[in-house]
Amino acid sequence: MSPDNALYKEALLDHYKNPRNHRKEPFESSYLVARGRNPRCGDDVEVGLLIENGQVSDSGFRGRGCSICIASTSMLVETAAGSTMDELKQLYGQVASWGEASTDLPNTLEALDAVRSSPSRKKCAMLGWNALGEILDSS
Amino acid sequence: MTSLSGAQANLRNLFPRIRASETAYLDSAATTHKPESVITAMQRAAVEGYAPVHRGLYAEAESASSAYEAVREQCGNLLRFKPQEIVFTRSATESINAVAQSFLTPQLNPGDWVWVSELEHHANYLPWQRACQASGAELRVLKINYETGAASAEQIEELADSRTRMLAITGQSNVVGVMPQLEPLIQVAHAVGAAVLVDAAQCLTHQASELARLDADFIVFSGHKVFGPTGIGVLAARYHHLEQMEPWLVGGGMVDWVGEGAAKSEWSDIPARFEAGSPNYIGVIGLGAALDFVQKLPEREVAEHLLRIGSYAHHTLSQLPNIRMLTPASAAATGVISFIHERIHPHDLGQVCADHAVAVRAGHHCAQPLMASLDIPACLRASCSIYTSRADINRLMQALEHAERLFL
Repeated sequence: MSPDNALYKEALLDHYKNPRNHRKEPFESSYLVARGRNPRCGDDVEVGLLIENGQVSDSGFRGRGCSICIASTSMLVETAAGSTMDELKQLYGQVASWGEASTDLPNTLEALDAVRSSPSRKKCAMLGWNALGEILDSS
Repeated sequence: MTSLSGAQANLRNLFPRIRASETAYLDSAATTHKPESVITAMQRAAVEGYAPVHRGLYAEAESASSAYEAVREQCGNLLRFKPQEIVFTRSATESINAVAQSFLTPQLNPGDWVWVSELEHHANYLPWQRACQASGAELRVLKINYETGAASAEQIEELADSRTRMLAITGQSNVVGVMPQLEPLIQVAHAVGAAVLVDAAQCLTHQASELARLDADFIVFSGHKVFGPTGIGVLAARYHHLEQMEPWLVGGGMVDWVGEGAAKSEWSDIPARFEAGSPNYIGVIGLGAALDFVQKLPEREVAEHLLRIGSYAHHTLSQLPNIRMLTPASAAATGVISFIHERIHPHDLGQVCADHAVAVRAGHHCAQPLMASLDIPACLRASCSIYTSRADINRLMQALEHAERLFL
């Protein structure tokens, strides 16, 4: 048997093994922060964004999770860097409706597309994005 | 593929899906596959003998009713309960909820104690928690020694308190395979007038005669974990307890006379009053065939196979450097083998296993209180049954090795 592990694309594994802006220290109070949790598997990530002059000047995340959760949140903070709030809202909208076949993801998130064929893992991929949604709602 | 002994090859061949599938099925603690005899009996019930139960005077209806009642008798004989002490439900979950709501809740007072063990599945935890919340009683948790299955002397002393009203305990953990020593706990609970429910969902296949020897007030199990169909469960309950219980469902088939206005309706006899609605005829026939199947299996051969395959799985997995075993070696003979990888998330392991066509379960296994006591959010469980082969375990090992190459 030779499983193709379509879910674990190289780009996704790269983000998992080398998560971008993954930090241990709590975010300073100037950051907009929200948390995504899944008590079913213990995954728990916190996303923090620093907004200066209407743009994301720093983005990062903390916490633990499976490879899909960590990679997806790492891609989020990488993609969010330098975005305006409107761009973030657009990005979030794309990802939130990404179960629908017509929605295309930006190139930087292409590796996440593999999760589409694995609905049970979508929750893992969405944890960090749910946190972003909360930040956008409250700002 | 490792060659199978004649007896094991024969057992595997009795299960059409196991015989035909490429999947290494290691999820039997979640649900078991069905042998040919169960599938055939259910098909016959649907095609040849189909009719309403207890609702017709014609030959087919009489014969369906007799066949249905024969399974009730079979369940009673298996657990040493009288036929009228057997109530058919949808599942072990429904059976436990029924006891919590109709038996315990009406007699529970603030300050009373209800005991469960820390090994419980949510099905044998939440109904009692709710009963306590509704009445101001306290839910207390017994710790069970993983190696011996015993509770501590201090806790047994607490269990013997006159405030204890109920003990609800599993016959075998669905996660770590540990089997609590039930008999001493039942004696202690009975000495203070408390009732005892045993959740036998995980252990009926290999522990039926031990369960029958217990003096439990209630024993519950589900058909689908003993090679039978889903949607059918059993509540075995002592008659004097059933007499105290109000029907938890009302409707057709459970009432003799319907009262008008304030007049009280008269319920049918026990156990019919607890089986409102058209009975699950095909499910009950399938359950009967499944219990026949279990009873005809050579008991020693089954126990020896589970011991061999469980010990092989336990030993092989515990050789891997990053694996922490949750099932103690002493419980390996149950075939329920849970573990975590120190560096790879259970969902990632489960996914790679799935990609290798190895069916295992990743998650909290509906046992969050147990996960909390183990201080882990989730784990991986490989659970074996009589049809599990060494080749299935070897496939699991290959998948785990692949996961290590992928993630580490």
